[in-house]
Amino acid sequence: MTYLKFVIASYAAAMVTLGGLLIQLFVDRRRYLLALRHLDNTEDKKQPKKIHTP
Amino acid sequence: MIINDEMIKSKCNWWHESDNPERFMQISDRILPSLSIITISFLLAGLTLIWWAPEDYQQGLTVKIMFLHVPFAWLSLLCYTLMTLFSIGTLFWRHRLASIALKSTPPIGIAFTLLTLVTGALWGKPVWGTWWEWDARLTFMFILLLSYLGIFSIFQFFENAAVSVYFAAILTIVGFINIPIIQFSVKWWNTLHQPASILILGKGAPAIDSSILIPLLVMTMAFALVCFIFHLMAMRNEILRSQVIIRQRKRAQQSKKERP
Repeated sequence: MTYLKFVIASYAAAMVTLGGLLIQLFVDRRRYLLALRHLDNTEDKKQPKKIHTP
Repeated sequence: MIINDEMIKSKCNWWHESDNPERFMQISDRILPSLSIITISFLLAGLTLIWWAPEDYQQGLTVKIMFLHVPFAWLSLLCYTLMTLFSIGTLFWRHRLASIALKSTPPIGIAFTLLTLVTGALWGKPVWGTWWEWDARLTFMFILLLSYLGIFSIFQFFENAAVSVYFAAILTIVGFINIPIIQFSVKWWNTLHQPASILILGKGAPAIDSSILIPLLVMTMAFALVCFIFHLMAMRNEILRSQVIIRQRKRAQQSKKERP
């Protein structure tokens, strides 16, 4: 049982590192999607409004 | 074998299709959910098998660290080998997806190499009586971590994407010499690290019992899938990032033209 702390520490290290990497990937994805949405919105506003004529 | 025009055309089409980021986004979007479910199943099965796996008669409970350490070590070598292939694709064929894949791999490689060293140290302390030794295998593994960090920093420091990919690809190909050295270091030098016990070239069966080998192989498969998913996600992020940059540049050019 004296070795249990080494086993727990290695599994915790794996969980923290891989979990951290996964969170980072999701954060990046959200950042780029928000940036693209922001660009979409500002480009839509710039487009001249269509005038419907009979 | 007769090679006609249609065969050449279909081969060119396949090559052209494989170098299409939009198609990659569509395919990866379709496979990611099912791949995640398969990965979680493998991880759960692996952890259950580890729980029931017997303790080693010499190392005791610490053998459970092996189920993490060995897959991480294999994957850190595999990631670098794949990076070398992506570098060749980038330099010789100017394949866009290969350069995107090359740029997306270093953070994943860093994570797996770092975990190999950390779990190795945590296994080494109770078994060898030391956290670290400047042993051949350990030292070359540390050099691999430095190579990954070097390639990662190239992508961070160069503003010009084409230049950074070019330099990173060259550095990756040069650094590949380290991979066979790591693999055969335990054979070439008299080291503290144990020799190969699973992938014994030319000797046939692995030297460990099936009660430990099966959980190890399941965990290897699980982490390989984790690595693949992370890589797909990182590549998708890189494509999104480049889309943002291209559109921001276009907008800046348009506003420049509109200005009197």
